[in-house]
Amino acid sequence: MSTLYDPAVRDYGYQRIDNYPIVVPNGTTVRETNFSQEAPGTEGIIEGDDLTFEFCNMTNLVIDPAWTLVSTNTLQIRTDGDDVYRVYPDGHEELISGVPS
Amino acid sequence: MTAYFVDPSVGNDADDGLDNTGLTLATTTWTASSLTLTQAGAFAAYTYAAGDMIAITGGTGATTGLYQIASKIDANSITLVATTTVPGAQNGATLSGSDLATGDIASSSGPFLTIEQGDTILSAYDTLWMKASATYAYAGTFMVNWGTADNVLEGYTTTPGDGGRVLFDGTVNANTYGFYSLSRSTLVNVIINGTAYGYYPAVAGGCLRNCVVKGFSATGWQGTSDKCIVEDCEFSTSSGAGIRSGWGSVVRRNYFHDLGTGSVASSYRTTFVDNIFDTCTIGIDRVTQEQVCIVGCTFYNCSTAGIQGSNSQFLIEDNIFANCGYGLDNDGTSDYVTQGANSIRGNHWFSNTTDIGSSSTGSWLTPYGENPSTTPGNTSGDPLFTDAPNGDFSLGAGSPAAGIAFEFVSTEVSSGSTTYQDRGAVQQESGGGGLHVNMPLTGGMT
Repeated sequence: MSTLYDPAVRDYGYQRIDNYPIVVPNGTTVRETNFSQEAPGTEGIIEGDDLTFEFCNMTNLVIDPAWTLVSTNTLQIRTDGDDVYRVYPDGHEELISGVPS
Repeated sequence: MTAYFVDPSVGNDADDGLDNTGLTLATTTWTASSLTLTQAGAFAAYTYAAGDMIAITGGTGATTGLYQIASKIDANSITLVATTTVPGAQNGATLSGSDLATGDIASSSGPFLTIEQGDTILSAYDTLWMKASATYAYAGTFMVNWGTADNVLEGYTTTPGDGGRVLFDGTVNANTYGFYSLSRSTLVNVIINGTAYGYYPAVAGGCLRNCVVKGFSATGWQGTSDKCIVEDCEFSTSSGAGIRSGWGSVVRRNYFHDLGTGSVASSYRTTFVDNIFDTCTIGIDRVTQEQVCIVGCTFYNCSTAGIQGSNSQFLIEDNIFANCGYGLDNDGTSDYVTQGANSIRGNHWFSNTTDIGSSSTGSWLTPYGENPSTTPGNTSGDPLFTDAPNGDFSLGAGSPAAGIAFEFVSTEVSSGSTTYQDRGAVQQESGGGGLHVNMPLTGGMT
């Protein structure tokens, strides 16, 4: 199962899409579109070659080094109830939902 | 209440920040009849651009302050605008010939380079004008960590007050927080992109106006504190929540779209007026606190629910719920008829899977045991949005939601006839309502 990318759709986040990957035509530039996933380090969300993403949200996606990213969010976040943790590449986590000290 | 300037292209943190040109005059003559400042050779390297300002900072008898430059005459002279509309600027015509004496006039050294320098220099109630000459991007956990109290930080494109937005791009340095404020501050005309949190006010009284917050991982506005105002803003492109409202906050005329949740009403006495919730999983979630007021909003294509929550003392009136899962979902286990004091009336319902119901075992019955979606005063039918897929939720001619709201515009005394507003967030230009809400759907750098 997969979902064909439609430029008119701006939200391919986990709360809205059941069937991944999103198949994006080769050579496409995708703008201002949400692909966020619930769990950090999620793979297999986007399929396509020679892709460019501008002002997109790729929170918690594993980024394909072949993609060209412009002003695109690639942070890794873990949510536990109302607590939100930022997950860094070395695996350590930082609670970010409370008022920082 | 001094105006300061930041320019990320040509600014310098060693400057005084008092204008955006930095002409640093010293031996100038003022001619009131022609509104001309003259100093030999002072403007040889100066290229006039619309929106240029000059701050006169000293001179015998000088009316010091900010002035707008009208034009460059030649290498020796510039003229000032006779009557300016720039906020905080004085009119050139108010200067008289004797206001400025030759030989001792001083003016600003120019704008700051960084926001941080502004935080160092500004005092309470000062304004910081931020020019959209380049993208703002600073390294660190906080892209901006603002500590001075009671300031307005406002973006502009050419002339202060022109409404142009500046881009703060968190993706450049992978910031966790976009704007973090340790004090009451107002942020105007800003785009915050790609952080975990867009704006995080840590104390009561923050305000966000005419801003775009998008591409965030967790929350666009994390209003954990009280008495904040969020108005004329756009929140989008995230599986997180557009805002988390604090106690006693006002959320009005905003556009929430393509979000996991439009707003988490996490505290009580929050007022939502004239907001659009378009293609959110839930428009307003966790309405679990008392005394939440939701009036005149449009909920469209909210797949789970327009409003989801459970408690008492709600006011939910004159909203449009269209193409949602639940329009209004009580996800608790209590029948709030027994809690009492809810006012859910006069809403418009169209093509929802369930207008009012419960995904759990609660209900929203009125004190008389009636379903609030079917009591007198409700309306239904296609609201005839002008172009909902492209974000235009104005009501077309003949809309059954037009001119029928509880809120009225005026009453003609002689005839006794009353004109009522439209239901939903956007009022028709003519017809029933006559009022119009200007939604912030255009503008900015991207």
